[in-house]
Amino acid sequence: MRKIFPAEELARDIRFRRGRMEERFEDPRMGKIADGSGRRGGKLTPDRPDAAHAARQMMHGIFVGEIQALEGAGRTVWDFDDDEAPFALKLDMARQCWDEARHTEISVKLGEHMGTEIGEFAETTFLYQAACNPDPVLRLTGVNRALEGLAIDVFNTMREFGEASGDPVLTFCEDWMLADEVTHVKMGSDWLRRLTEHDPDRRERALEFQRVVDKLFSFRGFRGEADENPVQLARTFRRMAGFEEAEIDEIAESSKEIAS
Amino acid sequence: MNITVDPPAFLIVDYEPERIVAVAREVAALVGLPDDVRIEVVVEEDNPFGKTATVVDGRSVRMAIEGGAFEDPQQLRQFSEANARLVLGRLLFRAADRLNPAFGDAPLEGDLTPAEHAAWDAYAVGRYTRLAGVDGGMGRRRYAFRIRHGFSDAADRAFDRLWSASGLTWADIQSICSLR
Repeated sequence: MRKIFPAEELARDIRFRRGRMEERFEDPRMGKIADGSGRRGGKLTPDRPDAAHAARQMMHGIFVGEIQALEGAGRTVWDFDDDEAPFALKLDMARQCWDEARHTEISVKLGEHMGTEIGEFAETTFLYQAACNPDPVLRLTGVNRALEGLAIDVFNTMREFGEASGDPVLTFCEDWMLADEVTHVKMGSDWLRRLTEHDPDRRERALEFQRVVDKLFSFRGFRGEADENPVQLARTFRRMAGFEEAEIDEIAESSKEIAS
Repeated sequence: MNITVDPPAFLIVDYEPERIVAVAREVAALVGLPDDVRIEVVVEEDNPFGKTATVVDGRSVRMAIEGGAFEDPQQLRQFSEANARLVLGRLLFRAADRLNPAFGDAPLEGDLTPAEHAAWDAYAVGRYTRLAGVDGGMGRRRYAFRIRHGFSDAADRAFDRLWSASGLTWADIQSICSLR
């Protein structure tokens, strides 16, 4: 079985449609939102006129993200020899696969609960692409700290949306998945520290990769702390996951810069 | 029936005004709008969201539609005829209700609460779905209704009545919602 599996060849059935990240970056409508001349969706709350649609779309994004997180963690178990990635790290990734598989099933059920069909929205594979980095430390930092950190923000946003709209099913499921994401981020933080203990340059490269991934997902105000950001930065849960206050501040500042 | 689409040409999204006119004409006929009604569809093409607003003034119906409402959710900036039909079916059924004296006086669009919008939408899409013989996305309409009316058996019963009803008045819609 080959190592480092390309995103273009991920297996999906006919219900799925692959979207390109470039299409989103090149969409002129997004430019108008970013420069303030177009209406912004705003924080995901039931008060939004399009609350149901926006929540369904975000839930579908979570669903495909869970599939890719499963694929990414699975690849990390296989892609590296034990001298590149310790066996204990692979055990953590195997445990994460179990979590992501469960999250995928929960997300399918939540999609049904919200009236969404599998493949109703396009899937981009950016999450999996971050999981193709050939350096296991960079891969783990990009995925388990940047993307799973984003997952903390997204799940907390959805959990709060469930609470505000009186939806016990959404609230309960998001709360449980959120707890797992905190563990996944902690794994990333722990392994980053351990594997780069005597290699500060590699640690810095990994943290820089994380910053790049973080910035991409703060794209045009998607995440932040203002009312106009659909996904809210979850400071408390990020602290629980081992993020330093300065790191959280950096993401918040970077989100503001990108949005302006 | 006089139907116009604004803008006359789309520059940002891959939509064709002639196609929208054709879809609106078919849907209006299906819904049963009288021929003397004038329909104006104003699409805000640089807006990726899907909010809509309708004003019925005499025998004129003006629908302001954010471009995302007609978009294919699987392909950015591409027109989805199925989505356009559903959106126009919902809006034109509501316009037909307003034009029908027997329906009664509903508040102006801007004065409707989100809960009233959700209830009227359920009633409109349910009728369109049956009439057109299409899948109108009952599950997502139910979810939108639950967000406004609660996640409860009573709210679900109210939704089921609205979805399967025909010939309701504005007072009936309010009454069904108050029973939840």
